Amino acid sequence: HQTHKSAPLTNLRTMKILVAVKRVVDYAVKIRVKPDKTGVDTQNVKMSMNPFCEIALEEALRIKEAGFAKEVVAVSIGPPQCVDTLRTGLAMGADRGIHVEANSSFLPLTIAKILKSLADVENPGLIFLGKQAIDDDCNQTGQMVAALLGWPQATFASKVVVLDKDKQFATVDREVDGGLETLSVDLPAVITTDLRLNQPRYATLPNIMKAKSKPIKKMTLEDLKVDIKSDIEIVEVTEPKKRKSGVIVSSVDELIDKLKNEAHASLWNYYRFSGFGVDGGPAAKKLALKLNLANANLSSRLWVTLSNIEVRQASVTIVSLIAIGGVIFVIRKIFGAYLAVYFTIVSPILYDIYNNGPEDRYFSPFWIELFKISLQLQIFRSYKAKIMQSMRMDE
Amino acid sequence: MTRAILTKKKLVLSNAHRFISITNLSRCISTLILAEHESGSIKAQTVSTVVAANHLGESSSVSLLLAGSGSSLQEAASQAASCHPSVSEVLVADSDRFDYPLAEPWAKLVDFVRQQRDYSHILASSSSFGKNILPRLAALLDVSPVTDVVKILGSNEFIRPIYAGNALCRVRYTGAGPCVLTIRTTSFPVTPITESKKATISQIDLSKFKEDAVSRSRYVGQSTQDTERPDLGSARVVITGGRALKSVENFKMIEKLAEKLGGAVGATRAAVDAGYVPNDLQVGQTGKIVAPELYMAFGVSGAIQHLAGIKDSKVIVAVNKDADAPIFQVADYGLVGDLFEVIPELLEKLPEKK
Repeated sequence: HQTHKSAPLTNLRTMKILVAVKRVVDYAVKIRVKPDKTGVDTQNVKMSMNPFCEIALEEALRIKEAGFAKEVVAVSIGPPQCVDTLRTGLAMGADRGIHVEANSSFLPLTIAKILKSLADVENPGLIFLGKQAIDDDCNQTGQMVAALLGWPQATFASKVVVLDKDKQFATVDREVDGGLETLSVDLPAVITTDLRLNQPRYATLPNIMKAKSKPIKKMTLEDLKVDIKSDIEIVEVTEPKKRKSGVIVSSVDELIDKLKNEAHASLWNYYRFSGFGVDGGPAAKKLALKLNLANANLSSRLWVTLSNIEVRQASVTIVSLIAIGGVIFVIRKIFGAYLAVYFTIVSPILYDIYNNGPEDRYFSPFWIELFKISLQLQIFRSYKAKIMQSMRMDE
Repeated sequence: MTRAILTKKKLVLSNAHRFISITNLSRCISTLILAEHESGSIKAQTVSTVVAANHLGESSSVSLLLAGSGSSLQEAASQAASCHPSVSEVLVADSDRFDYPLAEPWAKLVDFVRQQRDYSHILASSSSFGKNILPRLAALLDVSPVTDVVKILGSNEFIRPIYAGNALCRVRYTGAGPCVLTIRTTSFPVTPITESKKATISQIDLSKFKEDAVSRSRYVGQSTQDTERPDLGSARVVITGGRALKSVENFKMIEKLAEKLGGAVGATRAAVDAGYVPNDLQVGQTGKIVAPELYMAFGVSGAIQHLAGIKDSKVIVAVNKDADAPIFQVADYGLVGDLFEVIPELLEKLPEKK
């Protein structure tokens, strides 16, 4: 790879690492949306350092302990309580903290601009951030800081980051959709951390005591000459739709039964009505399978080779049979019996009767459905008869 | 008489100016989508993003941007041109700089393309590709992006999940620059298309495209799993195992069940951390978001972060020894039992699905 002149950053041994940490609702808390829909209730709720930020800080500390950096600086942006988060960071081992005061919550772009200003002042060789904050789940800030600084970025880092002492670059494994990707980034760079990068250390009591004397510098947006960017408005915050409560089944058989008849029915209906596309869609494909199987079975039993039935013709025939049968049934009882004939031939194909025996669970639902349909038709017919009668009486 | 004509012309011109400014107010929507492609074809996530772009408003023109090099790029471009009827243009950036999805050159490329044609919206799917590149691009444009959009209510109003999906936030973009979005593709399913329309394909002139020569990132390698099983993000059936599986060997049971049902294999964070499966099978807030027809969870307790990834599934089935496991509160069907007995029984009793 090509040699290059790197930026003002020099010797790795004097390198500073800047770590941004965010104070968020603790990951185990079950949040509640405020009734006025303006946001999530964070009063009297346990707050902690964002888990990804803990991992970021841990990685920075490990790099320093391996001798590749001299100082780890923790930064937090927000209300006065952020100082608690910084103290935790200092207790873990950071050398000093910076608290940028902010009364309202900022969009990631403003946070990125603040971090960029700090980087211009502090000149770190690496900036570590958590890949996302577990409150807004944005996953933007690290990428934005890198863009504003013109630095390379390595996001969603898993596996240990290895620094090369002589040449100034880092090798990072990243978690991507297809697996793991390895990049080498020139320093200075921005790295955002994913879950499996490391296991953050607990702050020991001696370190907590030591942390009380480590300096935390307070800064404001005016000091850093940053303008607040507010091009996104929050209109409202709502709760998502709750799922319908489910049932507990008592055995595997019951589970399979439910899946086939209830859940599977919805799956099957999806197949039936999900559209036909160009080749008939999933419904036609299923039908083709069943037709061929029925064909094969019947051929073998009846010792006659039935000609190949084409799916498209079969679908059209079936649909028109239903339509015609329905009409005839209403008009003329005798011809309507033809509808029952349709059911006897076609429905078994649809319900796979020719391929399954009475012990199969499909068997009884088919007959039940057939019975139900014929019952409904009987009722309908009797109503129709009554209406006809009353019409005749009116005349 | 000439004066009358002149004044008439003036009137017409001034009216025309008013007309133009009115149309400028009703912002014309033109969308640029950063497309993902692999082995000569467009990825399903990109088509979902096109579907999402349609929700932005009427008369939207959708352009797909593909970058890479070689014949697989050109193949993908030609497939992209007919992947969805609303795609009006495919832009192709052919250079080996774009062989790998590095954020720095790609973000610069999108900015380069945007400078030549004015887009009101720039979209990508919320995959690791889109999440890596689009926020960087947004900062280059000095705009705030909206990431992981699950619903589009208009050209500048969107809904996105927060707190691991336990709350939904409706936001409005009020900035002047292009609206930059990443789309959660499970919320925008692709319906089978009937009409086919071929979009125009144009090669982008990269002669004026300059990259940072100084600090860069370089692609070193990757390890991906090549399986025949369906992709976890778009599978219709997902079978997930948790830490209760206890070993890599036991996870083979999950794989067998997935194979029988024609589904994909997923895992909880605990199972991935314990090393039973590779990381790209993790389902949850910080892993993959899935929305299959059928989701079966074995030995999964149901932590908030895991549920965040499965909430949009149609049917959730849970099997766990612990009757108080939180997963039973979201499951449609729950079975309290030992998965080491239940899975073999299921394998025996379930019919083959095709």
